[in-house]
Amino acid sequence: MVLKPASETASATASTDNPRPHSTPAHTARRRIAVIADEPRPFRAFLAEHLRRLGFDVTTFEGGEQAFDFVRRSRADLAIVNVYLKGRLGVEVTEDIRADPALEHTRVILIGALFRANRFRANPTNLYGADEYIEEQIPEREFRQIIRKLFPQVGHTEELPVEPKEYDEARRLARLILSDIVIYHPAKVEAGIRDDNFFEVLKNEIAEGRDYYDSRVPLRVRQDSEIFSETLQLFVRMKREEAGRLMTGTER
Amino acid sequence: MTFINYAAREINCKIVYYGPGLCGKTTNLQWIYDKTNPQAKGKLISLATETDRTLFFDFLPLDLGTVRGFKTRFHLYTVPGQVFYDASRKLILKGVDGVVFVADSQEARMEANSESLVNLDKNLKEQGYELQSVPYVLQFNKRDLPTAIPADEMYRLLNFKGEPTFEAVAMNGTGVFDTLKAVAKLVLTELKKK
Repeated sequence: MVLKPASETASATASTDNPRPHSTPAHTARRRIAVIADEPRPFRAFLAEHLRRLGFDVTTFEGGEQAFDFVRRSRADLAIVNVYLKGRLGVEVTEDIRADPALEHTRVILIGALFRANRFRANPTNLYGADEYIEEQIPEREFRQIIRKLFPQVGHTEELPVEPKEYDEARRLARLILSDIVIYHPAKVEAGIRDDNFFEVLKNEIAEGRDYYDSRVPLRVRQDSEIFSETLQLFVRMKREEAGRLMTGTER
Repeated sequence: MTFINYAAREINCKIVYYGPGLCGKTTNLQWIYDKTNPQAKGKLISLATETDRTLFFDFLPLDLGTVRGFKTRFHLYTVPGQVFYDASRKLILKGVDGVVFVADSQEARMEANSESLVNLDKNLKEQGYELQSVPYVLQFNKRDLPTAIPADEMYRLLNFKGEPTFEAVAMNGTGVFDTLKAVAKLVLTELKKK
C-alpha cells in the first residue's frame, strides 16, 4: 500500500582527615594509572569500572607481588590493594610502596575484608602507610568522594553545569540501548524476568550497553545520576509487576 | 556516488537499507535476492560479526531500461541497526545513491525508529549529503503484527518530506519490490538529471 502525504489525510496534524592531594605536575599531563590488587570478583570490577569512568587506566592483579611490580614499573598514581592477597599481603605491598622514594606520589587505598571472619581484617587505626581504607561494600558516591579527595583534579574538565536536556538525552539513549537488548535477546529477557536474574543472564549485553552509554554520555551527567541503571531497574520492575498481574489474573 | 563501467556499459548505483535493529532490512534484501533471476544477480555477501551484520549483493534489473544506453546495476546494502554500530553505518553510507528507511511498526520501537532516522540524517550530513535531496523512500514494515501502530500515525512521526512511503510485511514479500522500485526510480531520475 502506498501512503498519502499527511496533508492529504483527514487526521493530519504530529576518609582519612588529612589526605595528601595528588598534584605532581609530571603526573597530571597523562592519563592516571590505577592498579587494583584483589581477587577477581564483582567488587573488583565495580572499582575498576568507576575508576575508568573517572579517567584512570586501570590494571588488575590477583597477587600482591605482581601488583607491586606493576606499580613500580608504571609509577602508578593509585594502588587499591586488599589487605589479604595471595603471596604478599596487601599491607606489605603498602609498606613496600611507601618505602620506595620513586613512588612518593602513589596514593594507596586498602580494602578490608569485611564479611569473612576467617580472613585478615585490617585495623583502621593502622593503615600501614595507606592514604585511605575502604570496606568490601562501598556506595559509588562515597568511593568517588574518596578518589576526588586524593585526586582533586579528577573530572574537573567535566565540571560544567549539566543542562536538563543532557539528562533527557541520556535517558533516551538508555531507553534505546535497553530496547535493543530486549529485541535482540527476547528469550534471555523473558527468562531473566521470570527467574529474577535479569542482570545476571544479560550481564554481557548490559556491560556492552553500559560501555556505549558511557562513551556517549558526558561524565558530568553520569557522575550526577545513575540513569542507565535506573532505566534497567525500572524496566525489570515493570515487567515483574506485569508478570505478577498475569499470574494472579488481574490483568485486564 | 555512481560508478560507471564503460566496458560493460553499466552504471553502478548503491542503495542502502537503513533502520533500527531487527526492523527487517535483511529480510527485505533476502526476499529481493531470492526472487531475482540468478543470471542477473551477484553473490549475497554477509559481513557479519556475532551481532553486527552487513549484507550486500548486486543485481541488474532487466525492466528498468537504460540511461543514455547504459544498463543500471544496483548494489543493495543493509546496515547494522543496533545503536552501538554507528561507525559501521557511516562507512556503509559512503557513496550512497539512494536510501530506503525501514521502520518497525511496533509501538515499542517508535523511539528506535526516530533515533535511527535522526542518525541517518546526521551520518548523511557527515558524508556531504542531505536527506532532503538524496533519493529516499520510507517503508513501514511488520504491518501484520498486532502491536503495529496505525500507518497514519507512523507517517506523521517519520515522513518528513513527502517521500514515497510503503506498508510492508517483508517476511512474505508484501511491499518489498514496491519499495525497491520506488527508490530505483528516484535514483534513475537523479541520474538522468546529471
